[in-house]
Amino acid sequence: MRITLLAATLLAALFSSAQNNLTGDDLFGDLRARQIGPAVMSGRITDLEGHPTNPRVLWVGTAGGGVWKSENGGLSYLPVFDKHNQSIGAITLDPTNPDKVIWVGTGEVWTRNSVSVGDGIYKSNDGGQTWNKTGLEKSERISAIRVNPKNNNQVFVGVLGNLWGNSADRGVYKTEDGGKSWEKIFYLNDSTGCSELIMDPSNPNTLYAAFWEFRRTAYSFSSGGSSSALYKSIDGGKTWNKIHNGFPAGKLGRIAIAAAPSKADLLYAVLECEKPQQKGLYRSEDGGANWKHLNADFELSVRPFYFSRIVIDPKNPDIIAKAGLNGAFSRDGGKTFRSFSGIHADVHDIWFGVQNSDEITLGDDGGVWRSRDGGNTFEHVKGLPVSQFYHVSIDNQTPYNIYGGLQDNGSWYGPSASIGGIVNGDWNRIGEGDGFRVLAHPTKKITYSEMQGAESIWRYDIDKKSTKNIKPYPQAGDPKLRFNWNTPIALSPNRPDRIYVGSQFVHRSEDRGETWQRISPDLTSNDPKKQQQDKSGGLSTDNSGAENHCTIFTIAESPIDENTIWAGTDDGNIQLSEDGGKSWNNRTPNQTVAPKNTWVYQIEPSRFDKQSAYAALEGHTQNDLTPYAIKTTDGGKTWNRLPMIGVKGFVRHIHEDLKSPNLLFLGTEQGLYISLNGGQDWLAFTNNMPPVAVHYMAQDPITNDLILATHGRGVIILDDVSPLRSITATVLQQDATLLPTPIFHFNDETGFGKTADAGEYVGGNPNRDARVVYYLKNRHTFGKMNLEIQDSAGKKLASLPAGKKKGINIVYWDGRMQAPKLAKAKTFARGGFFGPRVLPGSYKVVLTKANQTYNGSIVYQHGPTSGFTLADKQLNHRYSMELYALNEDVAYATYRVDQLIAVCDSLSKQKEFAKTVATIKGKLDNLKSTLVVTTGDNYVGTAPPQLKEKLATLFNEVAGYQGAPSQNEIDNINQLSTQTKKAIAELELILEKDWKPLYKKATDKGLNADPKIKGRAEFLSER
Amino acid sequence: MYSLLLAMLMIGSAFSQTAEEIISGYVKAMGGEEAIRKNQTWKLSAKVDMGGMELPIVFLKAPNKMKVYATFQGMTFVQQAYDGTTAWKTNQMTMKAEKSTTEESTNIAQDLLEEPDVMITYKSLGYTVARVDDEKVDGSDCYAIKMTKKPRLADGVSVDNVVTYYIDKSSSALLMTRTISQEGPAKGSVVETLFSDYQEAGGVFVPFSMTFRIAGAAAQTIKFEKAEPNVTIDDKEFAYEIN
Repeated sequence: MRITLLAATLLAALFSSAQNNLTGDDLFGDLRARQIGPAVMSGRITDLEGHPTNPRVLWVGTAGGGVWKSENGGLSYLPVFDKHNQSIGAITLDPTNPDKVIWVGTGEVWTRNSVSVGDGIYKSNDGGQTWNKTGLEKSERISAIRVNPKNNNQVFVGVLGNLWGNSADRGVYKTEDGGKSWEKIFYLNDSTGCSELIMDPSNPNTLYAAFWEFRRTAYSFSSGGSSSALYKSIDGGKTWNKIHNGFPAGKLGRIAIAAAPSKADLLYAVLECEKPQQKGLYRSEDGGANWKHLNADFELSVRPFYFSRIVIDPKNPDIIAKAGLNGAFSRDGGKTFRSFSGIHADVHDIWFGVQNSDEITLGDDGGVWRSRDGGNTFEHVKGLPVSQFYHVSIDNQTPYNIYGGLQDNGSWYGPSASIGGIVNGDWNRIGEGDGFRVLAHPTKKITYSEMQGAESIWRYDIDKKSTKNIKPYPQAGDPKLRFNWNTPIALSPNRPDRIYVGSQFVHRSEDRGETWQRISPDLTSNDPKKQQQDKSGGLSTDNSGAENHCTIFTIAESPIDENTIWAGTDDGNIQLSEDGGKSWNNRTPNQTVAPKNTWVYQIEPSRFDKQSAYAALEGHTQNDLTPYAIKTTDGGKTWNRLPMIGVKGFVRHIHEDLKSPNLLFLGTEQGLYISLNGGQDWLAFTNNMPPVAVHYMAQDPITNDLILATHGRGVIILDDVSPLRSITATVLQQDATLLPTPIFHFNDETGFGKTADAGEYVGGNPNRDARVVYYLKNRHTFGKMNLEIQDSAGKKLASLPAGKKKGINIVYWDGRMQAPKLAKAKTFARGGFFGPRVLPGSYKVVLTKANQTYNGSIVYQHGPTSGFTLADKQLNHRYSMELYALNEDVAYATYRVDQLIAVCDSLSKQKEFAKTVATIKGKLDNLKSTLVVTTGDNYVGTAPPQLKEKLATLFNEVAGYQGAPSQNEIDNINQLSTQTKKAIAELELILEKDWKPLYKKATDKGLNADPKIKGRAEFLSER
Repeated sequence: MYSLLLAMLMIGSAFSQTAEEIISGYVKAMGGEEAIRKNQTWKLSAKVDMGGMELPIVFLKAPNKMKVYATFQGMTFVQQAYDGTTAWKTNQMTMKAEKSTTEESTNIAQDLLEEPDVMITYKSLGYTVARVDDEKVDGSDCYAIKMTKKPRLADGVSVDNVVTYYIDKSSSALLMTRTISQEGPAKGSVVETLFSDYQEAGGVFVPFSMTFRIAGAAAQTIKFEKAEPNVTIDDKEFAYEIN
């Protein structure tokens, strides 16, 4: 026992040290994230930036999905910032070199409760191909970047700064050396940041800076204060003066400011102030010396923290557009406005076409919209998968469906795979407003979805298309229920009809929400100071429900004991019931593990031990960005913080693999991390996985896929993570190791699918072919490396392109043998592009690397979901193989005929042979014309098909299907078989009766009449 | 103590290697400039993985000329050729040669000026090189050399022609090139070519496996079976007029 323990400890240490030397990139190799969008609802856009002269180029900054660039006038977009922080505040093109020099300030400035955090400013010198972080790491959110058009080394940056706490890293910053060094040139205080900074279009020494006093907590928001103000500098930022002449007295809030490109002294400002009638639009015609209030319409004063942007037409200073609930548009210098329509709500930025002001692009909570008629009608960009999921779950169908709710985009479900790719039309809406947790009933076609603080909890019957609101109400004597904006709803892993909902209490229903039982006391701190949301908002009351606090945020019933229920609260409590909710014990970790009130974001009860659980805690609403993931093995009596070395971003989710307790997945505000040793070490997963916020994870027990809800890049899937379960210390030390793969079942579906419009996003499908998986200690660079699939007798069935990466290599095999060799003809046959599918069984894998050979096997089993019987498949294989052989018979016969014809051509030059040769050649030509097409082309000049073409087409038909061939096809095979035999017999006859005498005669005369016909096997081996 | 000093010196020298020095290291590791220049023509026989089917293709290279042709169902068709004046390919409907666009001809002509290896000819072509951040390629530590070439033509205008070369730190072999597609619907996409299975042929090392990757996803692998240097190739092979 002691020795075993010692060995285990040593192995763990060895493994730890082996993993220590690894990076994620070294290990994960071919494990590649599959991004599936969707883009149907897209997501929040924070900043739009067009090119100053080239209307084909548009840059899009997003709330959580990075930076996207279009080079075709906004039709399609590519992500160009995938290695960096995905929360974007501002994008600016260097006016002196707008094709190449691009600045990106990270950290969204539309400071809603779910906003992420940035990590500094970035610069690209090559049009966005590569980026360098050039400082301001503590800025958290950057509102504006202004480059001096006369000296592009001089750049001014507005830093809004921390949202959730004090910070001295705010104000206006300047670089004189293109970003190498920065100087804070204007600062007010640690709670007031620069929310907008503009440069006079005609004079780079003149700058305007809006400063905003603001603060969020988990339970309140405050906009405005005595420090909020608008400043002007006329000396390149050396000195600043308030320009408030005409502004209302008292406290100000967030201010939007813009200068007309065509008339520099004409400014528009949008003010948040104390008196509603004084809010809204102000105009100055003298560079801000004097202001005149023009308009306090709703769109001009609505939610300044979310909509403080005003944009002016580049040619006409009287045409202006203001961000807002629907956005507003004026053609008379701001006197009157109309709203945009036909778009998603919550407009954050607007861009006027540089050559044509009728082309208006706007970005809102639902993506990018384009108008070509001056903002009257808009079309939605369908190719920006920047959707912001809060949660994800799956069902148990094949392929499984994915469910989730999104910021301002309702609740949806869609397939994890769809023939032809996952298109926007594959997704189904099942909830409105801000969607959060969405769950599928384990056995019935029912979904549950929630909206905005349990304003609604819907039970949706997919078949009946009926929706019922099932939210719990207070029971007699209960206080008002407090629901989090992102209210937890949870299913029982043990009882299909059971569902939980959390307010300050845990509510449980055993009948799908028809009746509810409150099964807990108030599990929160119930701190009254944190329950004054009616006073929230500062100068503009903002009691949307998003700041509701002292609520339960996560509920989880143990998968191995239905009476063990965990609950976590937004104010830091972890509570446990071990008797099905009759009694609860506070199991909040002590403050050496995490500071008081650190939000309990998620609890993951272990699948392997009832007393074990993990929890993701996050303190960003207390201005604490530390990653906290904790574990208990004693039912929460004690908690240990897992080491978080190298982990970036605060933690929102921790997931324990369904089969391997040591395999853990960590979702943070900046990406995905994986541990192979129970959380002792973490490796960043970056293969096609940007550092996007991961809010939730689910795992499919059949495919072993890990499904991520990202808050900015939609749903991202790691297909089949099972190879990670096989990575051991021993494997890491071997040069090459073939890893076990699950028994596979081929997808027997047809290939016809949907199509997508130009520019529409199409999510990729998983490759469900058979997999060969191996680990390489080092990349293979020198010498040959081959990978073959062989049958049990060692006959080669397929040659696969071997992966050469250090780490895990995954090579797919579609289960097909090599294609038959087809006869040479005048035109192509429409078949014979693939070989027959092998029959279920075990197949050898042979990996050769330089002088080493590694042997393994993969097993193909007839799948229960195939739609065909095994007997069908056997019949299919039999006839496919018959056709395979017939195709090759014709190929060999044609080859022989061609070789003979070539000799005939040569001998025909000899007078004495001419006549005989002409006769023989005539026979050969005739024969050939029955074997293959000898005239026409590959399109509409095609000739009637001959044996080759008929056999190839029939082969494609039969082998391309997985079931038994029809009697009609079988009859046809028999006919073609007879014809093939007849043609070959004819050839043999010509050889015997005509060719032999000719050959002898020619040879006797010393002429070369050898047709040099290769043996059948040799001929077929040459491909 | 000495070993520590030595280690520090080596680290120092590793960081101080210039792009030119790294390129020299590559040229030397591949067999040296003389050996590379000695091979005036090449015939490379390969198979392209078409997802279950292997398509045999042949590359022919001669000074200022090239041809790639494939064989399918016993028929050959030219995927791309250039005869010194005209770029062309086979129309697969008629199986007859058709001219590529003037832009393609110009671009291929320009590319062929880089032969026998751009790592030898870049200076004479006026290309510039610069070291950019080191990167790992498939888990191997690499130097990254950004080469700015003469602009190419796309959509009637000159566009950037920048290729980054990733050279293995331990072997000096080229493991990958990366560029950005400058035309067509894939404009802006990252295009990478990975090289492996280096073997000796004609006194130089030749990568017998090339994998193309678009936007990070492997698209196609070409596996070479034979690399024959200094073969005699009739000019007719390349000529548009004759084909």
